[in-house]
Amino acid sequence: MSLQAARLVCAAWLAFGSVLGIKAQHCDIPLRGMVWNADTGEPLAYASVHIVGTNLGATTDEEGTFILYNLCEDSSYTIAVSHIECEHKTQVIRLVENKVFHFYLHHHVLSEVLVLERAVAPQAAQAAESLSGEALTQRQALPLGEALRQLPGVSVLNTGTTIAKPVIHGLHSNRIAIVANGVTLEGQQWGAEHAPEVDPFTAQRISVVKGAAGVRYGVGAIAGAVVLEPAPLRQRPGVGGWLYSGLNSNGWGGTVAGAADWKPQQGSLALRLQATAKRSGNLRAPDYWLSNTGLEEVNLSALAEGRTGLWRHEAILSRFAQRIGILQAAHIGNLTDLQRAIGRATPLNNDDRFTYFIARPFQRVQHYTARHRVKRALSDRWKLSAQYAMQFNLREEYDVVRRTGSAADRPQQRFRIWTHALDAAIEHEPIRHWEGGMGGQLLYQYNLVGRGGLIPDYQSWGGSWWWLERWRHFPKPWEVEVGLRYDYRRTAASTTGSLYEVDTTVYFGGLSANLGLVRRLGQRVRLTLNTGYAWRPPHVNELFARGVHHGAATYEEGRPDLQPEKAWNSNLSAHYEHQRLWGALTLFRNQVQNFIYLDPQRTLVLTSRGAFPAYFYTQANAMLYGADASLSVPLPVGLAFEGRASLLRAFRIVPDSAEGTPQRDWLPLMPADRFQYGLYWSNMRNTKQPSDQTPHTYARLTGTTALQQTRIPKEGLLAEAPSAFTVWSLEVGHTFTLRKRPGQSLETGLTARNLTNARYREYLNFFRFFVDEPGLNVSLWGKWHF
Amino acid sequence: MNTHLLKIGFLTLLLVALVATSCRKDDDTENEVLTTVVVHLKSADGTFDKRFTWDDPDGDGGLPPTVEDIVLAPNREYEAKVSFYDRSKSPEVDVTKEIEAESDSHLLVYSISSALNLTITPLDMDSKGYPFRLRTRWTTGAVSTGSVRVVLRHNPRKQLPNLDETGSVDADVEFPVRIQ
Repeated sequence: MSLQAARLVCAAWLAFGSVLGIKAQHCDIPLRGMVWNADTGEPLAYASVHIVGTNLGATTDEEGTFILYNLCEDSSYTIAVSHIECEHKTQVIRLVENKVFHFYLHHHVLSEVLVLERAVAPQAAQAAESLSGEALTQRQALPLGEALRQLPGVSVLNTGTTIAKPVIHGLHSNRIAIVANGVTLEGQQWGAEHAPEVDPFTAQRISVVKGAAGVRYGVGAIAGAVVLEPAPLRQRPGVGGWLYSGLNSNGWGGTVAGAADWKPQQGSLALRLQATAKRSGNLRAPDYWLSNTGLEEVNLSALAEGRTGLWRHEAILSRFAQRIGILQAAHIGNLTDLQRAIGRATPLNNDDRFTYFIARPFQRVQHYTARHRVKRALSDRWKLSAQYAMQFNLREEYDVVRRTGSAADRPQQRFRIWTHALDAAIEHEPIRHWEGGMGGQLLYQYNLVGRGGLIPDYQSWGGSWWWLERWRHFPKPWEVEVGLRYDYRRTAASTTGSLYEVDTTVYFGGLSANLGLVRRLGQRVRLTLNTGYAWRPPHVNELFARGVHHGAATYEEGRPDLQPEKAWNSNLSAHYEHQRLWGALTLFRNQVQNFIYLDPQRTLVLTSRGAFPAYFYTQANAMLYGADASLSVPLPVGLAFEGRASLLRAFRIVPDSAEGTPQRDWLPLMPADRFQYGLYWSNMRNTKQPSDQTPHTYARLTGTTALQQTRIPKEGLLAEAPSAFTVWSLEVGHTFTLRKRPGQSLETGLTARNLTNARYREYLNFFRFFVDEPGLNVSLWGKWHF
Repeated sequence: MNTHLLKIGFLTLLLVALVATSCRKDDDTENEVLTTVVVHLKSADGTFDKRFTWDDPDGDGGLPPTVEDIVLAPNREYEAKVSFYDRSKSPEVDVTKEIEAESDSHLLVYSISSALNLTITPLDMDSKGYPFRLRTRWTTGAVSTGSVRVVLRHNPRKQLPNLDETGSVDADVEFPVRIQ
């Protein structure tokens, strides 16, 4: 799309908005509100609310909520709130659609009534899962991928236990977007053994969007997105925060993390400093130590928020740094060694002892992010925001090398990538029940690869434009979301000092679109249908890679004429919720045109380290479909049964030249069907998810059964999948308030993973050829909120 | 005013921390590519003195390596020495000296195809008295053809009985051999 066309669309959109804006007086807007007891912080039932000068009024229900229908948008109303036990109060509000007004009343004290308005978050039109509260706290010390493992539809691509990549409906790496603090992570995500450089401790909530997420999260996200949201900074002056400390029995590891929030008495500035440090030694499988599986990690971040005039500023600086040992038994020089190592009872080259020392091979990874965002209101309805984000990613891979001495401390592979992204958006409050916005992004990337690297150096320039709108009109049961996006990428790749030469520029551009429908059936049932079209340009490694992939003992070669992947991804979800009984079912179908994958060749490539089976990048049409389900059924005495299931079928169409009939072949490394079931007990029977700081006790026993993956490609080394397994885990937690220190609480927990110390291997773990998964791991942790 | 100072101070501190941690000496990566393996065979009487080369100067992939056939006479004894070179660098690097200097962390393994009438016996030991096998004696039998595979391993566990399977592979090349 040309720039002129984009300008035209932009102008038309603004004109459309202003026409609607002039005719603003719609008198079909409800006023939704809640009345609270300001002294206890509890909702007030049976409070009466009425609009002064009219005969409109309502009484709050058990949960303190009320609704007054058919009021005029953008008008001011004087609201009188009264309760037998509390003061009678009046307050003037300006009615805005999709906001909830919170009224705080005091017990017979003459003070001002406080009104806060909060936006009602739109219900996700896409299938989504999230991790927050106690479930997140239990998993925060794990790598991001492992923390998300239990969510339906999410699985993990492992290289050992410390390197974990989230997989959404069978797809991962460049096919999903990872968004931390509003910045899409730009690292070396193309590699299967390159874990995302994100610290779960920075998030208060981690959401997984399942389905094409290209419109919202950018080019490439054809399978979904993982979104980490930090806790909001302090609104009231003072100091607060939390401190976490945890110990693991497996690997004798420890984690210390903390955050301190500060807001001075004067001014609008609010600050947070956050830090995480982890150290762990060799992990242990049920029968032996896993040599060189230690980990060291130190992360720091700082957030600041403030106001200058009409502008609101938000700044983030963060640093993520890791050193991860790679299992020595998995360092395979050539195919003969691989065949020799596969299927042994005890791993070859395994130093069967505990140590914290990390020897070669290991990875050293650092990621830096600096981000500044500004926002301002242009009018009552329109808001402008802009953001600049800079990211630097350093990845060094240290192999086992013959050399010792001065060259011994140098890495064998080094990747450095700088990303500059400038975003701008203009957003609006509801206009005729449509709310949304339009924006654009400019992106520049510079990637520098060390001499003799697997991929060439490259520079990328990108531009994108998006428009997203949502219609909702409470209490109508329908909601509609539409989105459109155009992306353009230009990548120039060249090699320096390598044995083979590349000097090419490639261009890709394309549209993404999304349509979502939400339909509520009464209070309990919600149906959503989402269909999206997204695309992904081939990555530099798929185009130009050339070399031996050591972990897999394969020779991989890119293909410079690959075309972008185009995905049409649809999902249909049903949610049911009534008190403590709830369930969700998602059916999905992802049709990918030009799906890029490594195709095993029938030849061996002869190198000075022996012969390697050759895999060339190629593309074919692929189809992925399946279902995710989750269920929670209340049982007596505060117990609940919990169940989850993730099913996936994924194949590609092999164009068969001989018979002219296309054949199907399964895609490699797709997660096997997985079922989770267990019991949850909590002493808070009536609260579905208590906040971190509510005193309560809970316990959760979960069994996970993964079936053997029998749907595997006919050819290739990855021809066999490990057998089915069942593992159990137990989580116990207790939160109490500190009596001597009001407002402070202590969360404590005990987690036991692989409770029965079972021997098993995961199909999606590259180390399945060599070793079992780690055995029993008991973690003890505490989190103090101050 | 006070908060401004604080903000500026805070941000400067962070920037300094970031810069300080990210500044690192920018040395290059270290990638040794063993492109060339030479087997130097000599007869005791000096009448036979030849080098046979396995050579892949463009590294992994690309053009296939060139391999010279080793042609030997039947029922004779030869002394062999294997040399390794990195010809991806210029000038080429002779890696053999380093391997000899660190003999206890290296091991050569020879596999002879079953049809070939050849035996290989070591002529050397590493600095701790364990096998090293850079220098070997090749004893030919009757007329036959086959191959010899030469593998260089490093950090092997030489005290283990399966020492030939331990450590990791630096080089693994195969020479066709004819005894005629």
